[in-house]
Amino acid sequence: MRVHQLLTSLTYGDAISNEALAIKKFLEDEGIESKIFGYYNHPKVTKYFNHYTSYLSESQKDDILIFHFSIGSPVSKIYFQAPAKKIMIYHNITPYHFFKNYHRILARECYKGRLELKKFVDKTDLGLGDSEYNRKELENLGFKNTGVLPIVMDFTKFDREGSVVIRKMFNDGKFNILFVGRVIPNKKIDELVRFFSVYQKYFNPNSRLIIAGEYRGFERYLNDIYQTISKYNLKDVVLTGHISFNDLVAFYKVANLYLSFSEHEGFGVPLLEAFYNKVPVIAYDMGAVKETMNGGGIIIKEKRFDKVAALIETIRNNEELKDSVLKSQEQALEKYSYENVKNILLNHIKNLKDE
Amino acid sequence: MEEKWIEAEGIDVEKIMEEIRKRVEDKKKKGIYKDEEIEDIENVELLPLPDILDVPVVYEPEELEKSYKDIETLRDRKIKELREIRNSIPAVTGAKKKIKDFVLKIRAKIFPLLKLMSFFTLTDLYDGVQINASSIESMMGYINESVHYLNVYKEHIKVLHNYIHHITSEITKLKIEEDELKVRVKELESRLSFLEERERALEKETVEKR
Repeated sequence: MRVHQLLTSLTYGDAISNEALAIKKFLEDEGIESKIFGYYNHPKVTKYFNHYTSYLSESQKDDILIFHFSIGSPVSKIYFQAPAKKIMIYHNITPYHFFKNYHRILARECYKGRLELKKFVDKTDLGLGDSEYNRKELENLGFKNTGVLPIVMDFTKFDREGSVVIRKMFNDGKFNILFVGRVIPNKKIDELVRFFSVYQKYFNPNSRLIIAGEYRGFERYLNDIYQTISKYNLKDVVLTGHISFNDLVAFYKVANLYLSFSEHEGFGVPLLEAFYNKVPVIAYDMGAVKETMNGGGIIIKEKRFDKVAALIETIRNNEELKDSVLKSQEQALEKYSYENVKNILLNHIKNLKDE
Repeated sequence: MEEKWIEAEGIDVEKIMEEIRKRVEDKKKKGIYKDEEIEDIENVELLPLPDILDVPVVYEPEELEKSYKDIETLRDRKIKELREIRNSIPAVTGAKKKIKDFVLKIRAKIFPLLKLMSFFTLTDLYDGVQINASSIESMMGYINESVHYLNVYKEHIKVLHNYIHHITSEITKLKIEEDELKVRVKELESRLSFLEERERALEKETVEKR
C-alpha cells in the first residue's frame, strides 16, 4: 500500500506544510511509501516535492490519497480523477462575514470555498477535521465518513532561547500580554486593544500588549486598530508585523500571559505553542478554542473587560494559581504528542483500507 | 450566585471568581472607574475605511433619463389639455343657433355674388397664402433645426454627466487611496520605530558582550 498526499503548496513553517511533512514521516516510519504532490513548493522543501500533474500516472486503486483542502486549489481536479481511496483533511474556512467590511475579495473567496467543499462530499471516502469542531462542519455538509486528526505539532523547535534582541527589548519588567496571529477581523485584535486600554489604565500601568503577526493585506482593519490606539492614547501596544521564527520564540519567552479574544478558530496552533512555552493562556470560548485547549489554561465565556483584567491581575499576583494553570496546560499537551497523532492517523488509514 | 463565566480544569474557579469580584468592587468603590465607562469601551463600533470596490465605475444616468422622461410626460399632458380645451367649446344653441342658420341660408343665396366679387381679389389672396406658407415653412425649418440642436445638447448633457460621474468616482477613489496610504505610512512608522528599538537593543547587547 502507498499513501500519497496532495496539497496546493508545500512551503516551510506553515501549519499545513508541517503537517504534510510530519504525515510523510509517520508513514515512512511504518514502512509505507509516501510522496507529496502539489502545485507549488518553496525551494527549501524541493526534495520532498513532486508536481501534481505527475500524480495520476502513479495512482493505483489500492493506494490512499490524502488531500489537504484549500480554497480554489488547482489540484482538486486531480483529486477527483484519482482512482485511489481518498481522505480529505479540512483545516476550516473562516466565515465570510468577518471579511465583509474589510476585504470583499477574500469574503467572496471564503463564501465560494464553502460551496466548493460540497463538491468533495461524494468524492471523499473519509473526511478528517483537525478538530471535532471542523469534523462537525464536514458532517453537517453531508460527509458520511468523518473523523478527527489533530494537527501534528513539533514543539521541539521551541527548545531554544530565540532572538536575543527581542528578549532584550521586551524583558524590561513590563507585564507582557501576547497574542500571536494575523491581524484579521475574526481574531478581534481591535477588542484586545480596547481591553488593554482598560487593563493599563485601571489595573496595571506597567504593562504591554504585543500583537505578533502579519498585517499586510488588511490595511483597512489595521487602520481601525491604529484609530483605537490613538483614541485611547495607548503607548505600549506593539504590532510586530511579520516576524521570523527566531523572533516568535523570543516573544513567547518574554510573554507573561497569552490572551485571545478570537471569534473563529478552526484549531488554534498559537494556544498550544503558548502552552508549551509555559505562558498562562486566557482565551475566549469560540470555535475550536476550548477543544484545542483540552482542559488547559483558562476559558472565558464573556468578554467583560474589567473582569478579564481582574482575572489577569489575579494570575499575576498569585504564583500558586499561575502554577496550576501551567500544570493544566502541560497535561493538555499530551493529546498532541507525536505518538498519539501518529496512532490516530494510522488507525484512520487502517480502517479505510479494511473497508 | 453569579453565573460561571470562566472555566478551568484543576483550578478552584469559585475562589478565582470571588477574588475577581473583590478586585472589581474595590476599584469601583474607590471611584477608579464606572461600569458605564467600561461598557462604552466594550461597545465601540468600528468605522472601516470605505472600500474602493464600492465606488461605482459604470455610469447609470438614471436621474438624467428620468428628467427626460419627465419632460416628455409634461409635453403629452399639455397636448391633452389643449385637446380638452378645444373639445370644451360649447355648441351654439337656442336663439343664437336660429340666427346662425338664418345667416347661413342668406349666405348660400348670395354665394355666387360673393364668388364673383372675390374673383378679382383672388391673386392678392393667393399671394397672401403663399407668403403665409413660406413663413410657416421657414418656421418649421427653424423648429426642426432647433429640435436637432436640442437633441445634440441632450447628448452633450449625457456626456457631461458621464464626465462628472467619472471625475467624482476618480476623486473618491483617490481619497480612499490617500487614506490607505496614510495607514501604510503609519505602518511604516511603527515598523521603523520597532526596528530602531531593535537596533538600540542590539547595540547594547553587542557592547555588553565586548
